[in-house]
Amino acid sequence: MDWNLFTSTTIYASVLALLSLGITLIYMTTKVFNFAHPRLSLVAAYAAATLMAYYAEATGAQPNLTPKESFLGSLTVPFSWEFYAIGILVSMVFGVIAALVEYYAILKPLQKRGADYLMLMIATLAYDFLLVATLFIYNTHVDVRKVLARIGVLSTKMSMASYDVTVVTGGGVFISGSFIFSVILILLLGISLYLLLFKTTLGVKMRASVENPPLAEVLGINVERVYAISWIISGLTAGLAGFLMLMAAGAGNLKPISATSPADEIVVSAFAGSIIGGVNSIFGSIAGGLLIGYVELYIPNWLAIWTGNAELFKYSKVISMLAVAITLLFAPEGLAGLLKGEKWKKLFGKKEEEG
Amino acid sequence: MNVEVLLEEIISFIGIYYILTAGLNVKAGMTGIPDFGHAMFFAVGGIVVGNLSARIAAAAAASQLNVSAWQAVKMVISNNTELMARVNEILPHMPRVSIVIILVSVIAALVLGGLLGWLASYPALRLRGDYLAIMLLAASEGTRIFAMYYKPLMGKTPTVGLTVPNAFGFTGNAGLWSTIFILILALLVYIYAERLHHSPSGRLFRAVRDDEASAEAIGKDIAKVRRDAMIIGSALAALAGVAYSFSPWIAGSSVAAISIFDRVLWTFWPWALMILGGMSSNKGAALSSVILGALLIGPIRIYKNDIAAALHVESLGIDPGNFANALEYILVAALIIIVLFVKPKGLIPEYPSRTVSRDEVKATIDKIAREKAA
Repeated sequence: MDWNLFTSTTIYASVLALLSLGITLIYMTTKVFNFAHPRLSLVAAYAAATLMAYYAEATGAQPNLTPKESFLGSLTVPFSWEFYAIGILVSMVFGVIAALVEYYAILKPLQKRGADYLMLMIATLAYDFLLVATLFIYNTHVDVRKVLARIGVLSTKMSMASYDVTVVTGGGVFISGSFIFSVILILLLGISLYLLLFKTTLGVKMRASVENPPLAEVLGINVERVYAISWIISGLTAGLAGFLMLMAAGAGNLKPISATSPADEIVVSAFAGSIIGGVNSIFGSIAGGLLIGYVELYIPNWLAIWTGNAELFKYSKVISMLAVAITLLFAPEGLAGLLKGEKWKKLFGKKEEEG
Repeated sequence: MNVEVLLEEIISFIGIYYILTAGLNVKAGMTGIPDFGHAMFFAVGGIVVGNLSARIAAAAAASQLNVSAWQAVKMVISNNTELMARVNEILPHMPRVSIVIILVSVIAALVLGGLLGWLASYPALRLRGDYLAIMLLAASEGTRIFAMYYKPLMGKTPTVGLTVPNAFGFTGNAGLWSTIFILILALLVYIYAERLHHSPSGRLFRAVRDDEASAEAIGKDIAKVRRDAMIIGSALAALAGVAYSFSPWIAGSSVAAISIFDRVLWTFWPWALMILGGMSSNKGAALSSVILGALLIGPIRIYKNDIAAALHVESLGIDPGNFANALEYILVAALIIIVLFVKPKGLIPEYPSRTVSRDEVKATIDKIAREKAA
């Protein structure tokens, strides 16, 4: 098995899973496909990169790329751990801010005026354009350029892949920090969402508000607050996806970050993940995103080896498009519909009871 | 900047976007099919011109290039830039071939665009609402990736693409005559769309959009209506693609997969224009194309650097060039949001269709009665 392909695919799949989860959450609560969603990640990535660079400048830290010996093997940590912690925190905060602005400034007022799904979709597109314009102006700003250049990052083609924590084990196996981070992130996210949705009162309230908003309101649940929480989770995961895009630029189909890339390229894959998960299932969307990520990179890889034609790899995105078409036309409930067993139903289904 | 060029550019821009928006209006505005894959149908026009028409031009010019017609046709893909540069030198001396190329492009685009629309109506019959929108978006992206890397379709490199045959070269002023060509197409489309709006089939489209069950109850074939709308709308989008490809001001001298499949320019902008003008409002689509054409190509594209300079953005550390580019996005986004908040029905809301007057109906009934009596 090709280990490097596996790790980079895992990172890519995790990014897609995070984005699909956000898209699904928003669709379940606000009933709109949020076209601006991947752009929230870019906003978060720029905020994180800038503040990380400021931190490095303030502490006078220089990237230290010489490996140290540790019990794992030769470990390279280019910057201090605070540096990465700042990146994660800032990307989460800015993802949430960008998401909440979208909801409170544009979508909620429009919904109050009785806009239909088309109007809302177009509004998310307009917000997307506004973010693109903001990033266009931001990423060529003199100060931003200067501060990012200080740590050797190009502001219009941002990548911090060379500053990723890496381990080369005794056996010569290469493991990157963003790979471990993405695996832990997805596991943690799955467990915490399960606990939140099925083991807390808030979770019951959330599920009730999704199932039947008017009834939930009558029973005294603050539906507005539940929606706000789902937007916060959505922004949070978009921010984390942005951080991964920054630290693992080049993994899978993730290109270096600019105002348009990689959001424009992966927006449809993220939607594919959400749709394959069944659109109305949170755990389905995580599974769908992961599935799309692996399928998109592994199938062309196998085909390329099998036919001996490396050109086939370029068509990788066609697979996720086909997956969307097949799912929508033949199995509209997606993965959530396929896994109808009792045990699975509890995890993936949307109409089960508490406990 | 040359005023004549500016005017031609504005008119071409308005014409192309009007045709594109009119096509979307038939699908999304009148029939309620949320087509987020409009760029796919637009690209058909570009492929027809870059691939099919270029082959006709090469075959016609082959004898003067000292190669057989078949070789020339094959070289259109394998040796595009060099061959087409030589063909484009010869083509201005062949007015008849040029006119044939233009006509064939228009007809082929209408036919192929309609065919693709017919194919795309398969999901449109089965899915509704936002699911359909995502489905068509995915279809458009899928074909984009395919066209970018499938060499026999759009050439070796997706960013360079195929050289457009210089079909307006024989007129001596390609810029002016391509603009006139686009203007004529746009006017024809306007007349057609206006007739469609007032015709019984236009009313049927809107009936299916507003209440499918009632339309079905009075014996209308919903599947056929949605299919017809997809075919008409997609054919018009492909026509816009031809208009775009022949315009030296908008397309330049070549069509590239990366630009003709651009979903921002050819899907989202027409959507913005349609919302701005008013869904299912043909006059609105024309008005919003004019407004956006006059606003974007005119002031923004020419004065954007002046605007950036006037605002002293460099003193804030902002790059004036990029600020100028961002202005386009900000303008479109702000326009959409303002319209959605202030005038959600658009500048010219959907207007009722002209129907036959009561007197006329009465006269016809009387006439039939008289004929029967006789």
